[in-house]
Amino acid sequence: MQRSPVSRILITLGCVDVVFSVVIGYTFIAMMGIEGDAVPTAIAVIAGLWVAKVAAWMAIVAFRLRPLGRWFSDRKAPTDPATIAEVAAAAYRAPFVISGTFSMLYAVGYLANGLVLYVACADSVPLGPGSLTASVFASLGLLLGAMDLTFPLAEWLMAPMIETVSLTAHELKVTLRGRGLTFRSRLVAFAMTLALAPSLFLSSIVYMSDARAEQRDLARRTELAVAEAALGHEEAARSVGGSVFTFDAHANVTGRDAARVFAEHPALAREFERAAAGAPMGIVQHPREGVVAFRTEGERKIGLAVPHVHAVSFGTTLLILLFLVIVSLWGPLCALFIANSTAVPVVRVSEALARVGEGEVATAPKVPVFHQDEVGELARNYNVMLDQMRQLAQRAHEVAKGALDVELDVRGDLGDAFRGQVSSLRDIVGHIAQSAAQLAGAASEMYAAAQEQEAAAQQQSVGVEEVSRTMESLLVAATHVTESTMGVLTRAERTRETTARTAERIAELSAHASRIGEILEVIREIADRSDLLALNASLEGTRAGEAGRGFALVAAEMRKLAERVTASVSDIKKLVSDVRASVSATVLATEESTTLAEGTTESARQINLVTQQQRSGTEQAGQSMRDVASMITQSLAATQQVRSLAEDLKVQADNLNGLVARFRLPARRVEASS
Amino acid sequence: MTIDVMPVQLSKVWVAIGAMHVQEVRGPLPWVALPGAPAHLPGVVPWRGRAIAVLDLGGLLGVAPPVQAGEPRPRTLIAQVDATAFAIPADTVREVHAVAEVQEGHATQVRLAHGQVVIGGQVMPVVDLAHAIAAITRPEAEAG
Repeated sequence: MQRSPVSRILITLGCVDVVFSVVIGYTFIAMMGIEGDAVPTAIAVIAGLWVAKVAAWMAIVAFRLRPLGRWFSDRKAPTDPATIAEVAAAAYRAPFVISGTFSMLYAVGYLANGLVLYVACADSVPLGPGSLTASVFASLGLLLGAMDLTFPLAEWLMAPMIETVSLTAHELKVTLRGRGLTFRSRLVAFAMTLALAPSLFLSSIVYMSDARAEQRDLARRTELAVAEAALGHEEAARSVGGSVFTFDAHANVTGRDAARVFAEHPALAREFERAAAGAPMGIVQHPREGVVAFRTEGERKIGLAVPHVHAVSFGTTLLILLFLVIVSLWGPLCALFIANSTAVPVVRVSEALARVGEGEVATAPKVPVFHQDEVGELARNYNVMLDQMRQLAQRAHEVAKGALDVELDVRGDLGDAFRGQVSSLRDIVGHIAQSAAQLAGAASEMYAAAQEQEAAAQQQSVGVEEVSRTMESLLVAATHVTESTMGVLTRAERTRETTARTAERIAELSAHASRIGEILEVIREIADRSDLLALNASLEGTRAGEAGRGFALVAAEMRKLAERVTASVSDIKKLVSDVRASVSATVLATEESTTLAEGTTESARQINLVTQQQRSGTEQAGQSMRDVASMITQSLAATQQVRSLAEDLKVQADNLNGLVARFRLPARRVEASS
Repeated sequence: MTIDVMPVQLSKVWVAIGAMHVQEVRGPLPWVALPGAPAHLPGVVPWRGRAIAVLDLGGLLGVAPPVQAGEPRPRTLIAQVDATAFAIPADTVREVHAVAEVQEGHATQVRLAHGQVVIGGQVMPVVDLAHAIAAITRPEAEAG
């Protein structure tokens, strides 16, 4: 069967009450000197009052802790702030209620024991004088002592409930404001009661012992007076516990018991000798060793030695032992409970702070507010601080995930610093986003430009290689051209010489042609004359008639011959004219050819010089092209590196964009960034 | 009956004239133009110590351009009709040919031609110098 927390507290306190009530009951009986037949009556009275007392404090405590009992019996139901506030108030009041009720009823019960026995049972349980006063002292001592014990014990027992209630109230954000002892007041009160309780109780014991000692001393003196009256009567002397002896003028004692008494109490013997030497009778008292009475009766000197009995009664010894036991149990228990009551909350806070200090903010536990004192305030402040730190951690976690639109309601420098940091981070992320976009664009353009440059460089490299090969071919060709121009030069010089000789021959041919023309003109004139002669001969033959027919025929043939000669001369003249024209043209051509040959020769020289220069220039150009090809190769490599870098830069820009995209900026800032 | 004709080339046209009128064939003879002379007798040329008239036969027949003084032709025919000798500038002269008859043909359309002959495959009009001289000296007779 599951007991309620309140029941467990009542049962525990009842057990403690039982243990201490037995001991305290016995001390009451011993302290009051109740002996013999009075003891059962006293026990019955004490037991009856104890039952009444237990019933009373349990009823009171159960009543006062009723809200706690109800709440813990129905914890699954929703808790409203008013209820938790009521429960918390009952929980924080519980140590005071339990301790006060328990202690007050304990003291009252103890006092009631004395009053009832003193008043109602005076015949059966006769209490000595001072019993009530001692009961008052003992009651006060028990009140304080019980408070010392039960207050931290009640706190210790209530700690689980207070923890639950406190954390629930903190979760519901119910502010629990109540009055409690400050830590300093508690320590002062604890120290004071720790000192006063045993002192008062011891005072009662001492008071009762002193009262009983006075009773015994009074009885002793009474007995001593009786002994003195009966001095000489041995029986009477022995009745007071003394030893009768005789002594001489030098105080020499005769009597075995007396001698032993004086031997055991030398101070008393010296006091007796000094007194006996100066007076015939008297009483010598030594505060520690005893009393000696002496008197001179004629020649006989007699005395009575009564040594003090130092043995403490068993009841007193047992009472002191019980007191020591009680104090030795009560004191450490009180210290233990008060230490637990005060140290446990501090330890809990310390452990929680240690976890916070190790960075376990999320898993660090909330600390219940056990007391409404400085430690409780410390725990409350710790919880508030933990809430703020958790909120900060949560917000920081959200910020780490990219949520820059978080709001933080933590007040103070830390909250301001966090908000400032988030604000700065928003600005930075915004700038980074813009820069990343620009960087991505620039990287893309750079990449595209690098690709184009690389392609151009490759084409350029191919072109340069081709040009280089062309230059090599040009060099070979230039060498061949140089050699050819050397041949051309040689041939041109030969041509010039040949042309000169040809011109001379043509001049001779022209002269011959002119001579032929002249000869042909002579032949043409002869042929013309022959033609005329033939014609006239033909006429003459015709005039001669038949006789001249033959002559006419000869003349006709002659004319035809002359005509053919004339035609041939004309043809020859034409040919000669053509020859002369050709010769003239040939002369002109020869002169031109000569000029051209000379020009060709000069040009060949110049070409030779130019081709040599060209070959040299081609070699230099080839070397330059090789240098250019090397530079283009290096440029190509550099361009490829630039392209690779641009690609990497673009990847980095994309990564940066991706990283920036993880951040969620507030709407207005996003609009501003876009 | 055959007749003897001498082919004469006047510019580009061959003309056959009677050989009995030709006295001599000479080379180019420079002639002197006479102011106011007839168009077909433009000047005179010395021949055997006397001056004879120059007959522009090409111009007269209408087959060659008029002759010009100072531009003698390669051949000069000395012809005589009756007692009058004439110098006829020509370009080419062939030997005398005896032809069987004078034929009618399109060559007769040449002025003063009274027939045509074929010599050496060449068709040429036949011109009677007497008739031509008469045409110059007696235009009315020519017209009649």
